[in-house]
Amino acid sequence: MKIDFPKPKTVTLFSTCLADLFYPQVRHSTKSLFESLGYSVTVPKDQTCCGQPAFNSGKWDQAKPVADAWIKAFQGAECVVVPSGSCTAMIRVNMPHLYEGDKDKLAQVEALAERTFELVEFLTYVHRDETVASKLAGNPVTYHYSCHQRELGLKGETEALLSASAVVCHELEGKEECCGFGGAFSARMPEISAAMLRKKLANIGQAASQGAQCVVANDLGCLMNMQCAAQKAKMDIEFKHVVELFSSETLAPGGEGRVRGT
Amino acid sequence: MTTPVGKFREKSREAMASPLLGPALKNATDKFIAGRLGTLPQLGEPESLKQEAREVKVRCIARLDQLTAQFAESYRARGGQVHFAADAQEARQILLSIARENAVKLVAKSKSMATEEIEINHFLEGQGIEVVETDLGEYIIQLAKEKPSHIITPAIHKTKEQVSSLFHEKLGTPETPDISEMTRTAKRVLRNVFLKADMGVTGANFAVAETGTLTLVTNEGNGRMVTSLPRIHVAVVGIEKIVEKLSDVPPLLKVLPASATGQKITVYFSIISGPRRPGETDGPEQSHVILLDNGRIDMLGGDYRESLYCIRCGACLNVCPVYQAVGGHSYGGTYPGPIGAVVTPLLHEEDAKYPSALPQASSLCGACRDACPVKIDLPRMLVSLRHDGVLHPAGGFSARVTGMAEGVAFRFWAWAAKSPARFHQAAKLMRWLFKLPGFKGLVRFFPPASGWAFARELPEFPERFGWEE
Repeated sequence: MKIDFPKPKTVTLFSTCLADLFYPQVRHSTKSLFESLGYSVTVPKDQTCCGQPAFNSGKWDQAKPVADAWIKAFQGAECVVVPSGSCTAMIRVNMPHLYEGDKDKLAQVEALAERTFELVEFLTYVHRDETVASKLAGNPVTYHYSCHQRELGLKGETEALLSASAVVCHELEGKEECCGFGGAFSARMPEISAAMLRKKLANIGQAASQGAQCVVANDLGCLMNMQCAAQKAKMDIEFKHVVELFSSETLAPGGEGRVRGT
Repeated sequence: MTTPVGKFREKSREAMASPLLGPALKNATDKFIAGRLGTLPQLGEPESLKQEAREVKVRCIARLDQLTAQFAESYRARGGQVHFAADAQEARQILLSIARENAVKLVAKSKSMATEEIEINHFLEGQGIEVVETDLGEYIIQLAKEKPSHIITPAIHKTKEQVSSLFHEKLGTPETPDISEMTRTAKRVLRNVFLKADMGVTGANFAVAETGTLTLVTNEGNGRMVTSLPRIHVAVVGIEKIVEKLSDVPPLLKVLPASATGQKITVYFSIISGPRRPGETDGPEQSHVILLDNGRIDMLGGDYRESLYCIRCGACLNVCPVYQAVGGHSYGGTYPGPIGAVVTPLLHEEDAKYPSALPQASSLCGACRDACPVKIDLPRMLVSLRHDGVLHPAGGFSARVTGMAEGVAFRFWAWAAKSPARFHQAAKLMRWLFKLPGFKGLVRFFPPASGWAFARELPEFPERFGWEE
């Protein structure tokens, strides 16, 4: 995969609705990370959501006004960084579909989509400084590959980052299999979603028995799904967004309320 | 629950409750996935192989109207007879009249999804014509009076013990754990069928417009028997199988067995060029092709054209976590898995039980898109189908599918999310409600929270939202 995007001076952070509503530490960690890397970071006050929940449920009429608001909040950005593969995929791949009939708006959305990056994607292909891995720290982890990275053509970037760091990563059997979230799917098809979760939790249990103390992923949707299920199954393991592994020495403190399994 | 989604969920629950289904599916799909991943790179760079195969389909489907006419002309020039069937009923009537005109008593079939789609077995049997499936998997399914649960391996849901009991019950053979023994039994029965059948019915993997040729990919050799021994050969072919020229076949044939079973090459590849000609010693006296529309023409124009690129390899089923959990029968139609969830609502399939529910049967994980040898963007079409359901609630799609409670939740969400101030107020209100004693316990009984809470705790709101720095 090749992204030809010049290294920007400023980074605009789309914190995502899930981070803002449930995991604010992910927003704060992302902001601190990019500041520590020397970027001037803006976090627009008028951001809410990209519209993905409604779009994927087929409710495009409800996704569109939300997408309108997102575009308004981010249109001036030099580039947008998102701590979520699925929100990035919504913006880059799906959002243009909502404006197919409107040529000018479509061009604007497509241009904005082209300068929107998932967090690790940005670190790997735009920031391109391998020393960034040295800033990761923490207990042994296991890595779940969240599905929406497929849509972005991302494959081993996060694992490469982890393996270049001092963090021990235990292989998660079936790491590329969906955890069963799928947005509204989790509520529409609860039994099937639960079957997928059971499989995932069993594999996580195995990784835990090898020493993993934390499940890491790039998407809060997957993490919330797995964490809430692990909580119900009374499993004792942490769940963290990869950005939370950047150590406190390089980042400003902001880690209260970590994603926990118990 | 009586909504289509309710019915799908009910059927899925039944399937997941079976102690044998999960392990049987896991065995087979693990093997197929490993086979595909191991074999494709031996044939070339997988991405270029897929791209080349896709380009053939893109080009041919774009001119399908012309190619269909050209195929009909070339097939006739080879001495074959061409029939067009707008739907399943027409196809069955054409088949029946061919059988009647030729006093057919016994039909030998080789595996074909198109004939499953139009359900000919029961129909012909109702007309006093015996039909025998000669593909081993299909034969097992026919004996068990079931439908295939996988595009490539119809009896994927059955263990060898179940097959042994079935043979014992239906054929009187002793119970055996030996698969070769069971295969020999089937061979013995089927050999007589090949020799006695008056009519052979097949599908086709590719139909070549320029030459009027039908091609057939099989592993057991039964396809060759069925197309050469009986007096009459009838091929039922979905129009999307038509390609322009013979050189279009190799790129597709390269990815088909590899993606299906992990084979580098199929055991048998038959090229069928019309009926027996003077001086030839074998081959049928009559050759017919029934070109089947059944909804395909309507799929040509819009968002779903890509689904006509499908070469029915089953790779998307094998990798799909939903298929792996619920198996093929839960989909309630001919085509299960991700491709089934897309085409079942679009084809005019009479026996599909709850087609409108199927686009919901996906977490949109995208494993199918990666596995597909012609790179069909199945998740995109699943979302479009969900959307079209929303556009046409009169069709019974969305209103019933997503339910009122979810509709209210989404409207509330959209109303809030389009204005940051409202979004923040709404979040505060939710956090306040969740802190009320008993609220959290209560809300989990109502959809959509009840669906979430089936296997999970509800998430906790933080003391300070992200914007409350």
